[in-house]
Amino acid sequence: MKYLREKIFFFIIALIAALTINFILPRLMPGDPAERILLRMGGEVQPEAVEAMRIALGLDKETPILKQYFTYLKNTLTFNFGISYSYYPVEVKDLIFSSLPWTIGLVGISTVISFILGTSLGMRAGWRRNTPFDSFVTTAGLIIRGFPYFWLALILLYVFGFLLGAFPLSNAYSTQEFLSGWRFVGSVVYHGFLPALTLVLASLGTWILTMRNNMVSTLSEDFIVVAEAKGLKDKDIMKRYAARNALLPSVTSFGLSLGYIVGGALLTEIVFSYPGIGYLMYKGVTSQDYPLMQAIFFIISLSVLLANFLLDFIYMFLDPRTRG
Amino acid sequence: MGIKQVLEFLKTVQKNFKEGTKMKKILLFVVISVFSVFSFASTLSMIMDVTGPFSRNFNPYFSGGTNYSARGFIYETLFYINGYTGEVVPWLATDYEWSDDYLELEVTLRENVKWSDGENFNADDVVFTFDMIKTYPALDTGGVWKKGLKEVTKVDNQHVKFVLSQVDTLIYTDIFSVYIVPEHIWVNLGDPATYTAENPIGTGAYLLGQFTSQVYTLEKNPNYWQKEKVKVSTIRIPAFTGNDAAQLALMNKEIDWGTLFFPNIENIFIKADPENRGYWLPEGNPVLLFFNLDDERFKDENFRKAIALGIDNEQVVQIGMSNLASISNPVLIKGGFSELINGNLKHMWYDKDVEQAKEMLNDLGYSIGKDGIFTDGKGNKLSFELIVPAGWTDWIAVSQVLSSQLKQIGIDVVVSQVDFGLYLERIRNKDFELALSWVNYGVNPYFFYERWLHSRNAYSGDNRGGWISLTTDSLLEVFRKTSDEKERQLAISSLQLIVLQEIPSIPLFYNPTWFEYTTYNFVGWPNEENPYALPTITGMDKAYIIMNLEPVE
Repeated sequence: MKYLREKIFFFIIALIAALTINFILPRLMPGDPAERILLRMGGEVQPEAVEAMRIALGLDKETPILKQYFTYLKNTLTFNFGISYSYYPVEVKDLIFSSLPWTIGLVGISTVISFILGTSLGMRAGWRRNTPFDSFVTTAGLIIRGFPYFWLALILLYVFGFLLGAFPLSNAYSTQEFLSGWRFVGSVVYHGFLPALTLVLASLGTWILTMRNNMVSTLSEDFIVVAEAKGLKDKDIMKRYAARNALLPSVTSFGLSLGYIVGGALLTEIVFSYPGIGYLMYKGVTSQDYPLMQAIFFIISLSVLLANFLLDFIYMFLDPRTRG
Repeated sequence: MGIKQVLEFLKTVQKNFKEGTKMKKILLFVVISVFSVFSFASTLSMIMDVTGPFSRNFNPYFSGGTNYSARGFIYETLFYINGYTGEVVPWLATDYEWSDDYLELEVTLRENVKWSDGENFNADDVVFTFDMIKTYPALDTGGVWKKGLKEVTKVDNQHVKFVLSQVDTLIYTDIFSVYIVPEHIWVNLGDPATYTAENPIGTGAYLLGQFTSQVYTLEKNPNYWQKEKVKVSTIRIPAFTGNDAAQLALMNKEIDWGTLFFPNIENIFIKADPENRGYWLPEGNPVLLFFNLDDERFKDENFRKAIALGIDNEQVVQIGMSNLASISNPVLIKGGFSELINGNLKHMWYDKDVEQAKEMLNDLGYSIGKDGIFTDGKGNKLSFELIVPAGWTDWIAVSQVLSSQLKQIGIDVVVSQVDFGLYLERIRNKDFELALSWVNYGVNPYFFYERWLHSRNAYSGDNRGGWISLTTDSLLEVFRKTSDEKERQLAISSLQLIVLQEIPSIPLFYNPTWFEYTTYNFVGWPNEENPYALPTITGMDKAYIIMNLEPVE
């Protein structure tokens, strides 16, 4: 149980460190959040309105930084994120609730698809090492991995959305009419297809290559030779002997990437005008929206740490050595 | 779309699935498609902003896409001040009158105006609104109470009196621009500065229709007080997270009214269908090259003049702004107000003159070095840093053009891109040499001159270079002390002399106000041939414009 205690201790320390950094970093940005309205509105705002905004945000009064810090700690840990600066006076929690489901849906589903597809392709490529299938899959994986994914997104949008008109150009569902029922679901799937495709393609290469390389090294282990000598079926050796062992590192990265899902996919969201949390975070940062930034950073830190923690926990069962 | 709606929606899906037979479902599908075609017949689609998903926030005192639709479409002001012509158009009020000592302004309200929930609009609402923004200064976005409004009183149901603590004959523009809200709703809110007005009740031409985070509609108010003028029955406003997606939608004919930054607009947007697509880029806020007047080197007006003579505005606009901005005259008086230009000073209007600029620098004691750059007596090069906000691509191009032009007269200018927050902070702290920046123009040149040159606005306001002069201040104060248009003209004439002689900063061009439209569904748009209003969407202008639009048969 020492292992578990250590891990819990680490989790708490890491969380506090993350919280503190999340508090300090935004405040290192130069400038004044009220003035950032000018940036968003391209200087079309009257100087008097900036002054009024400063009063609304409470920036006209000086609060000691330490007091701000402790209020922030207390509020964050009780999930009380306050009012957003840039969408004043909308509450941060409302903003997050309206974008988080879209991100989890889009990025979560794409991550799972990409993992399953990439890993099984990688497994077969590693099994049939140095065949045309392997070279094709590996080369394709390498090429896809080399693409900047926002570029991929732009190309897909331009070709399938604009030139061919086969897919919508933006948004998460139809903005031409208000749909409900199955038509709404259909619209969501239709609108989510290109962004999801981008995300799947973007991470596919990594899954393929990781799995293929692990397969190759596992296949040279002695127990594979034993299995072959025993005369087991190829399919059984591939799936139950090699792949099972080769899968472990991929599962680790998969677990971690689940933690990163809530961080969203900023560039995809921007290219496809998708209402996710990545874009919300970007907007929070560019408009110096402390409450919004802090809340999103907190949620991201928390989910990455939790994913790590759970992985450690799972390892405890998978690997007897860690139980101590 | 919140969690609740998602849950509700999932329930309906489940229900439909259980109950519907295949035939029924197909029928439903057909019915819905037919309806959706009908219901969108006279719908105007517009882009309010490109800052992502919407949140339900229709408080008219804050900035942002949804707030902008609340201003003018849902909530209205007493008068509409046309920023292009300067005209004061009666709106919720029909008339106003100053007292003889100019300390009281009495406004007559329109009769038979109703709030969208059926209550009557009257003087109580106006008095309440002004008292509220006094109690909650966070809502006083025009700063009326800070400018010397002392008291607002109800005379009778149709008359309200505004009492001032000092004479200020221009304050009416700020008073008339305050959005009036219903007392019977806002009085019970607690702190109205945290109210999101999810179901806004206003006097305006539109009511909030359906709302999701990706699109919302505004529906015509059937009881609007000038409903006969409103021919656009529905306004559809979709969300975009970036300019590119919005531009594509505009080109795909999904949008009738756009306000997008769109370089290369002729080749990309117009060329595809010049008959039905148009744009107009009226003069927006002026952009100037500011000197930090706290810096010893810029204290000599002849030095500033020499720099001004090194700049070719035409080239700046052509190369830097891709020819999509209008060059400003050196006194920065816009086209709609040309009667305020002092014609006698036109001989002082300056133009690029490299030889004279060099000569002036020589006369000032600078000597030209081998590399073509002037140095002062101690051997220091005339080299300056020009700051510009990072990522403002057109302005960065402008800065580079300025740098190469000034090199020709022997001045080295290094362009630095600075994060926007830091940029304003450096100007405020006088920690810069040259800055490319703008001044908010306001509804007429008087406001602009005040913001640009009054010492009150030095560094922290729009007087970014820090022009501090008692003569200028006292001339500027004339605007608010008199109601005699002649006296104001006299003052602004003298100010033009100062601007031309002493060059507090160098006027370059007007930022374009971006406006694109199509005539597939609606006609009657303002443009260069018919410039009846500024096509901005932040305030009342859009309500005025939409009443000039007619659906295409």
